[in-house]
Amino acid sequence: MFTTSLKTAFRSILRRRFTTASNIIGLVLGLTVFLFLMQFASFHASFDHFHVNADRIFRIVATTPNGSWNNVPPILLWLKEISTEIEATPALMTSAGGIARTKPESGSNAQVVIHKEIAVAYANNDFFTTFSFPFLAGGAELQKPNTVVITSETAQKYFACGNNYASTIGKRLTMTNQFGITEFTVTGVLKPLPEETMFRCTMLFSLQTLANPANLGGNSWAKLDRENPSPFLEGFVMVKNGVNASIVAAQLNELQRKSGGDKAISWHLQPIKHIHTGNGFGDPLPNGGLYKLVVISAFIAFFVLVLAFINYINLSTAFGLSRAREIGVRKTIGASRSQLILPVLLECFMLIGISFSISLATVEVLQKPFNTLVGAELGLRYAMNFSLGLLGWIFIVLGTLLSGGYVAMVLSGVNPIVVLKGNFAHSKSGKRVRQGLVIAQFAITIAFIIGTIVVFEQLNYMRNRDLGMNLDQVYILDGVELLDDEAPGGADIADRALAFKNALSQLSFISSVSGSQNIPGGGYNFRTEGFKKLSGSIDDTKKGYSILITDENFFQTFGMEFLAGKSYVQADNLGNFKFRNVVVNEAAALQLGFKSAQEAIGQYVEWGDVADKGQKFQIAGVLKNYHHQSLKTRIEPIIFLPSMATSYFSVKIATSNLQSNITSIAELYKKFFPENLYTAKFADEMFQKQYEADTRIGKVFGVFTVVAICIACLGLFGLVAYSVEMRTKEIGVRKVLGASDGSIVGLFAKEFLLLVGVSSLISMPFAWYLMSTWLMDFAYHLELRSGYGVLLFALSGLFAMSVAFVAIVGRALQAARGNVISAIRSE
Amino acid sequence: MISLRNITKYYSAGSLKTFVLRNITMDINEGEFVSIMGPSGSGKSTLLHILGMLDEASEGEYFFMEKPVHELSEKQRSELHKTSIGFVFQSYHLIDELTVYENIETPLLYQNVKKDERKSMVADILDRFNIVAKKDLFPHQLSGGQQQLVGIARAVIARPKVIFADEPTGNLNSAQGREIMELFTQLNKQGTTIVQVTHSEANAQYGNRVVNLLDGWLK
Repeated sequence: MFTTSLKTAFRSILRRRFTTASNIIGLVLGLTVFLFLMQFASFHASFDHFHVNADRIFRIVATTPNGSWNNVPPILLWLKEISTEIEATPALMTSAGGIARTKPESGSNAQVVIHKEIAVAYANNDFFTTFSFPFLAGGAELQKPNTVVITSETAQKYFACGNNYASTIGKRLTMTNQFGITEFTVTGVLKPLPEETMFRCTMLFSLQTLANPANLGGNSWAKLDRENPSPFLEGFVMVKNGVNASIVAAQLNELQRKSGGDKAISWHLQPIKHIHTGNGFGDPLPNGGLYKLVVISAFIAFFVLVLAFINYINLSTAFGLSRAREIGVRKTIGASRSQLILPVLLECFMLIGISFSISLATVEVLQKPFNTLVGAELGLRYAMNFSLGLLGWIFIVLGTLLSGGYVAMVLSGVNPIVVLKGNFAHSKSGKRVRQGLVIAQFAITIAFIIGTIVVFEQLNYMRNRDLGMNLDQVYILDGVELLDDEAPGGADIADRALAFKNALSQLSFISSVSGSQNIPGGGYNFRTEGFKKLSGSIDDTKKGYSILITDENFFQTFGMEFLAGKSYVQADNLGNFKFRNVVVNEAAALQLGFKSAQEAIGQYVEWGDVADKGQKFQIAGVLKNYHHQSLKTRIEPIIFLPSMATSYFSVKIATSNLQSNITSIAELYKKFFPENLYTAKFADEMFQKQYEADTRIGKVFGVFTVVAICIACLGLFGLVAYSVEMRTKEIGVRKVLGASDGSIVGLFAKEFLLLVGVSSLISMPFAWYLMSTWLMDFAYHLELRSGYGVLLFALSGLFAMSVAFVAIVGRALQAARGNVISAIRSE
Repeated sequence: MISLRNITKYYSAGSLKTFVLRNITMDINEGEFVSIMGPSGSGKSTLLHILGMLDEASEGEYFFMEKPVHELSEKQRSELHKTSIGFVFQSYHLIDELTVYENIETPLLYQNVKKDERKSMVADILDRFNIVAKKDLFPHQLSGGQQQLVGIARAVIARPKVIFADEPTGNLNSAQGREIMELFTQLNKQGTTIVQVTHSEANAQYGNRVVNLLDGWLK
């Protein structure tokens, strides 16, 4: 029985080539998209789940009514003495990038290798006892000062060690960063870090190095002192087995209270598994915020697969006519219902099995382009080894059983007499179900189309909006990390920078040169509070401001506009972080309590208690608001402080001979700072980089929407073909009566376009709600409620209609032009 | 063997009833070869479908080998049908995906006949019907007459008590038709009861009784 069923199923698949091909193409598209998106969703959902002790590891996070952060002071390192529930306290200090260079043994003739390293961190030894990062050679000895652990890629890059990673153990390199020049010895080489971890380090220096004041380079904030209050460490705890994290959190809060710290701060232990995605929507603790993305991609995956299954059901039940005849015959020769269901189910499984194999192969082939698209090294393993992946598999199996089962029920339920008379196709109920399914398919597809259009429009909106500054032809050079006495300009960084800036401004093609500690599209130097105008209240000092440290040419170089007043001058920097004049933006002027930009000019602002280490300064100029960061964030109140800033050099250059101009800038830089690496970029590129992740999401959306449209149209095409087949005779009769091709096409177009119209009405409210929610992430966004927004929706609906129309006309026209006689005779 | 009492069949469309069969009362004995005749729309096929348990009467009683078919459950009816009835159609209704051999074998599969036994039964029939050479061909590779031969072979393989044939020669030329009718006669002589629906006087002559229908009434 079984083998015969198998044989029949196989032959049936082969015989109905058109249906089979449509079915398989639809299923392959759906399954492929599903597998890719599940990889993507599982990848993001599984961040840092792989640590053996993941369930016991927590990040220490502080919340206050004004916000939250995840940095702790060095007391962290003594927590084990305070709480017996804690097994380990891994600590990490990032943002210590600089220039790394190898230090060959004396007498060796090995070349010095030198690179800029941004992704470096200082860590304590608990880091490696807590987190599961295996070593290829050596191990961590981070309890000792001046040791470093590097990844295998780093080992290759600096020591060209081939596969002999052990050979790099004991090798030395120096790091030049804000702490000065420090020498480190390699003690271990890590296996390449997995993709799904938040720790993206190339080098991990021993935090213990900073215990030696000589290694601090005057940065007293980084002292490894129990009493040091400055929160510069990212802190974790691993609680002992069976300990409830809330106990430890309570102990931390108790400690905070006893030491007389700020009462507004409360400490939390955030499970490491929640850091990347956040714990559901609206997690108040700081996190990567990717929960939304995980949910969205899982939903898209789900819906695309639903599309494919609907296709299968539609095509199989519609083209079941010939199948139904066969089943009717089988019934008359004595088959029971269960004996009939088996072959249909088998056929379904076989079809899905074939499609699934093809999808796996397709995924294998398209994995590389997909990885480029999403910007991560993904693979099928992500869709396999995680609970979300498991859910995916359950869904595939369930979908197969349900759709196969439904098809089998429909077909095996046919009445043999009706079938043998050839009337099955006119059964009304089957038609209703199919129409409902087509509506569902197009509702999903139209939602996808709207989503894609809104995402792309938002990206466009962000790219094209007036930023309030001019980034064109602004070229930004990374600042200076490393100095030696012999170079022109001497050893003082300010002198050298000044000389360099002067030399730059001598170049004929440069119209403006500026130094700054940060740049538009980057960040701020810091955020702080404590400002008020002279007549301001104490409450004013609680308002936060973002601080940027720049020289006097910054505003001109970036094409910013003064609403009132003018820039400060170098002499306004009085030294020791005291200032005579500052510049503020409009938002800051208003927040300080001035009614207008004009009114603020020349006014004094107090920062802290002037009687006790505080200071007051005057406002020299008020800038028109500009977007210092992407349009995702609001324009913040900014206070600019004058300084001989050297982190970035920005120059406005002429467009002619761009390439040679850039080359001469590089040469000049190398002449002034021979020990440094030269890196530079255009300001607009750096600014647009902020939208990289969103552009990616847009592209992913776009690709999968195209697939969804294909699947839905395939289904529609199949149904039209079926409908045409059913109505061949009607078409013939109509033509005999003088109907034109157009009116016949219209007959079908009317029937199916109506369905698509209904779909639009169903999907638009959902799409509206979802996309409004998505747009909330952007401080400056499209207004869906505007005429333009409505137009976008209307266009999406129209687009779906026209695609559907093409699919319909393609098949219907063929029928309309067919041979009348054979059509009429066909009964 | 078969007895119908006041069998009526109608289709309701709203309050309107369209009658197909009215008050049919008849008996068919074991070993008979009955031909049902009548013009198009007289209800011949419906009567045959009810006899063959493919369709149910709206009113009346139907006894098949003393069993009240009108009172049986779907499952019991299907069991009775499976073991006692063979069907032959005007348009053959062979299963396109199956070879001649497999088409003939199918009823045995549904009756869970063992493989070896199936093999010998099919071989036997193929031999009797002289179609051994065609056993691996698919229906579309056969002529109409050959297809109907296979259809009949499939109908008789499970040794049914009765064969119902709906215009078995309707799609065949006269020579092929004659051949099929002779086969029926032969089967009838071997003990199988045969009920056929036909248009053709000539074909009706092969049977030993003719039943005439007109507008659903028995004449």
